Amino acid sequence: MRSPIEQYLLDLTRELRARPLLARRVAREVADHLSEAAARAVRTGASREDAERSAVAQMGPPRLIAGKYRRLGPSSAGLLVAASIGTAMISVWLVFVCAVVLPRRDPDHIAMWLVVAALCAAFTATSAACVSFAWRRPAWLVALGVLAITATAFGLLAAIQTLQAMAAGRGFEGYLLLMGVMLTGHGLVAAIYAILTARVRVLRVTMAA
Amino acid sequence: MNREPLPTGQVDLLLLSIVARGPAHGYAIIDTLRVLSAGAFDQPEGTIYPALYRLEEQGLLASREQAVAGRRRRIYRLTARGRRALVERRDAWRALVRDVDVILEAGARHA
Repeated sequence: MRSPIEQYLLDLTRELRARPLLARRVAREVADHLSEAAARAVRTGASREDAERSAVAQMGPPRLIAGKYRRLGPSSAGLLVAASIGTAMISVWLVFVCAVVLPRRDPDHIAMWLVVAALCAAFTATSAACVSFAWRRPAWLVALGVLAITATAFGLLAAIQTLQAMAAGRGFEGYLLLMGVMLTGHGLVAAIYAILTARVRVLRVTMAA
Repeated sequence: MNREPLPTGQVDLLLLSIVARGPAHGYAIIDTLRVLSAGAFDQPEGTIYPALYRLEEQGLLASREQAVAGRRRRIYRLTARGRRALVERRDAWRALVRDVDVILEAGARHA
């Protein structure tokens, strides 16, 4: 059975899940506030349970507080969603290229690009899942981290090889450079989001213990 | 006499004014606000933290976590920019109160 303060902090971090860095800061600050308010009430004769209930009631609903933070600017979850949309577009574009362009120009690489398209789709789906329902599940965060590292490495490789080909006079394939930059950006955003969310999860586990 | 709650827009001015007294953590700031306003501040206490964060984002406050009596606490202090903003906003508020008073006094003479 969780105490009123523990439950309040869990609710607050859930409301702030789109901003994992902020959630950690706010949870620590509010935890300090609530414990001091409760301790003061206990000193005046209240029971521990009543003191915590009173402190939580004075703090206000977690949704109200989280809503005030939401108005202060874009969240890292919002950035991740925006980057995911870019990767989803890459996936669709690659399927189109595999179906229409490559059979005539380069049929040997169709399978490889279809695998890349599938990985892009999986990365998009995992990102969306972590933002919406899976942020509390470690396995999803690990999957997001692995895909983020893979996407960053692949994106950087694609960008570097495109630039090297251009420098060597073998032509400039701008769409490959764009794909590399977008995948690298998505990978970095996802990696940071996964790390920050994992830190909030650790904090929640600590608070609930 | 019924007391109206503090307007939300003026809470920023009050927070700057309280932190100008010296660096303080969130609980102490809210406690001071409650005591000095003699009950006029009746918003949920948790709404002050987003306001402090916003003031920090605007560069008017700065904060960092430090150990106080064995606890890690976030301490807020006024920045130089915050001090200038406080003077400007306080002067604007006083001018507004003065102007409103003039109108109210004129009205009272004819009431």
